Parts: sequence; structure tokens; C-alpha cells
Amino acid sequence: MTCEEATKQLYEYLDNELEEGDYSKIKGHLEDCQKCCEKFEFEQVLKKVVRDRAKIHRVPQSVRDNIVKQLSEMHEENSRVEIFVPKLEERSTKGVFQLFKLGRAYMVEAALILLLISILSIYFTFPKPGSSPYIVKDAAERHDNFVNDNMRLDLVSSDRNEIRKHFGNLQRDNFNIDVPECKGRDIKLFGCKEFNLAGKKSAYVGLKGNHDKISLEIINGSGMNINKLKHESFKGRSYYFGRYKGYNVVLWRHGKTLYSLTSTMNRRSLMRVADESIHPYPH
Amino acid sequence: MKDSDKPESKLREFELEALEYIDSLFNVAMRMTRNKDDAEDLVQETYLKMHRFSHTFNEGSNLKAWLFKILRNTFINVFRKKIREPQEIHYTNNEDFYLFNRIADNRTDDSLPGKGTIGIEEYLEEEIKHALDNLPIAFREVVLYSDVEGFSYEEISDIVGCPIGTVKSRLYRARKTLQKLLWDYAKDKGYLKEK
Repeated sequence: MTCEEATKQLYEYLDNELEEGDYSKIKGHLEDCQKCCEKFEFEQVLKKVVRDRAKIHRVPQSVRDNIVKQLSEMHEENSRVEIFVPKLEERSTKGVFQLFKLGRAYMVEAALILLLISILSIYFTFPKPGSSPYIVKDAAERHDNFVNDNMRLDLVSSDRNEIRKHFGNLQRDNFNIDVPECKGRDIKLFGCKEFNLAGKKSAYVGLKGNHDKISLEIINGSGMNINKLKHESFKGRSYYFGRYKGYNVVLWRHGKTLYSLTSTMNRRSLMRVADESIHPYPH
Repeated sequence: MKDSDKPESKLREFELEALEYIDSLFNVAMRMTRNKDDAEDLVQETYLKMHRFSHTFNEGSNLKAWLFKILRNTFINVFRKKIREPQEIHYTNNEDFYLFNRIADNRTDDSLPGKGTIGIEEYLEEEIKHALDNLPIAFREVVLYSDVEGFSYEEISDIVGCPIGTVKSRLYRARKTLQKLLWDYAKDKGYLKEK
């Protein structure tokens, strides 16, 4: 083997990608050739130095904890419904029931099941403190339908005026939705639909970014309290945010109108979209 | 806190295993985004996507490569439009052992470049990171996957979605470019002088 032939396979050798035969040929050459040996060793040390100098960061514990928390919350949400069913079955065979005669036992069971059902329905109607508020869930579910093509839009159009006309024609009180420009940074209008969001009439506008679909919802005159959501400031505006089913929802007010933007994009990117494409204020 | 109350107990086994790669993912995310906050976001997004798409993962197959694929796709979607093939940069010639030769030429005595006081071990964290950060992203990522994370060519080809031949050639050009950058920094810093 010549030096030239060995050098041709330098990186495959160092990256351990060679077959046994080729590998030992080169190893043999390196044992015989001082020059190649030095050079190969140098390249090997360089590879190691790059790895050692680049691989030094550890993720902050808070980030790791946050990830674990979010993952476990997602699991909890998935299993919430299942938890109650086994308990129902358990109750009907143990404890107090065994004291009753057969006939009465069934009646008591039935009564208890009914009670449990009514408790459950109340439980599900009122969100627990700390879980995602309705508006976040609603917006995320709606976006999920949009993403999976499960939504029948009233109108498919990339023309802002057509969309404005569509909402204008609906002629309901307080439904003067001003459809924002939604332009810039590869965002395109896709279509629209009239909806309800958390109990109020809303204008839904589907958008397409370069890689993501984005849902925009506009509610006029909503007194809805989003102040319980976490919020942060971005370029002078307050954004409230939540997360549900892997989607980020970002909300903000402009006068009496409430806007929400939902996507898989991260929060910062969504705020950027809001700031540059939906609602650029003169800064 | 009872064991059953700990959030970890709610996670599936493969998710716990996936968490072991968090620092690896973070290091690569740091070099791709060049920003600590973005890197943290990127890592969080990756794990959330992992959960959402966990039904598509075949348990027992290559978890680490799958995670990095998610990281990469999330990076592309959120931070950039595409990772483009870099055009030939004018100074990458076909010289093998570029850095070795430069250092060797620079030596006033006969000692070997790999040993002695001014060798590559001198390259501090900052120079290496700076050089990596200045590689075009397509080059940077393959160096990260190979040198830093130790992925095989086949795994890299799976992560970036390119044939193995492309991966090999990209790695070759990436390392050449990296050596050129490291040599430039050595000169700038006054470690070595071009004769």
C-alpha cells in the first residue's frame, strides 16, 4: 500500500468505517511508514480535541425538570379518563356492599354509579386550577383539526379582501372583524371560517408559513379573562400563552379585540409572527 | 415526595432513556443555534415532539439517532428554512493534512507538530467553538454528528436524509474547512506565524 492509497481512506479509517481487511492494510502501512503515522495520529488527536472542546455544556437542571414535568403532565392528561373506570368496578364488589342483600346491593350500586357520573360531569365541566384554560384548549383543538385537514373552511382564499368580505357578509352584531394583513416572512392566508371560541363568536383564519400551519382567531369585544395565563412581553406588547397537545397558543389584546395564534412553532417565533405579520405597530 | 408522586414515574421507559441524551442534544443545539436560550427551547421542543410522535418510534431501534433527527427537523422548521449544500469555498483546496503541514512548516526545529508546546492541544474551547460556529451549517452539523457525537456514516445519513456518499464527501470538505479556520485563528492569535 502506498502513502497515497492510505491517505485516500484517512477519514474512513479514523471514523472506524472500514471493513476489517482494509483496516488492517492501513494499520500495516502506518506501522511501516513513520510519516503517515505522524499525520494520521495528528488527525486523530484533532478529532478528539474538537470533541472535547465542544462537548462541555450541561443542560440547566431547571430545563430538564421542566421537560420531565411537561411530559408527565401530558401522560396525566391522557390517562385522566381511564382512572375513574377501574374505581367504579372496584367499588361495586368490596366493602360496604357486602353487607347488603343482593337486591338492595344492586340498587345502591346503581345509585352510587349515577352519583359518580354526575360528579364526573361536574369535574369535567369546571377546569381544575392550573390546567390549561378553555381558550387554550379550544384554540389548540381547532388548530389540530386544521393541521390534519379535518376542518371544512367556509372559504379557501389567500386574498385578504375576499376574507374580509366573507366575514362582513355574515352580518352579526359586533362582527366587524378587521382581517389583518398577515403578510411578510412567508406567511400566507389560506382560508377562513366562522366559529365559536370559548363561547364567543370568533373569526378563524388559517395561515400557512413555510413549514407550519398557523391558526389565527379573532374575537371582538371579548371580556374573557386571560390574565390568569402566564405572560411575557415582546417588543412592547404583552402576550399570554399556554400549551396544549403539543401546540403553542399565544394570545393578545388590541383594544376590545382578542387575538390568538396557534402553531407547533415555539412561543418566540409565534410572537415574532404576531409582531411582524399580524399586528405590526409603528414602533 | 412518594416515589409514585415523582413526575419521572409517569414517563415511559424509552422516554427515561431518551432523557439520558439531553446533554448531547443540548451541546449540538448550542452549536447549531449559537444561543443558549434558543438551544434550551430547541431541546424542550425536541422532547415534546418525541412524546407526540412516540407512536411512530419502534422501540428497540436507534433512539439516539431518532432524537437527533427530531432535533434537526425542529431546528429547520423553527430557525431556518433549509440547510443548503455549501458552494465550494475558494480556499478549500484538495490538500490533505492541511493543518499538520502548516504547523510543520512553521516549526523552527525538527520536533513533530503533534507534540511539543504548540500543538493542537493548545486550541482552547473558544477557538474550537468559534471555528465550528463559522462553518456553514451543512458542514457544521456533520462534524457535530461525527466528531462530537460519534454517529456512524449510516446513522448520519439517516439523520440528514442524504446518501452515505454525500455524507462522506461533506465530512471530508467540512474537516478541510475546519482546519483552514483553525489555522487562520492560530495566526490571528499569534500562536504561529506564517513563514
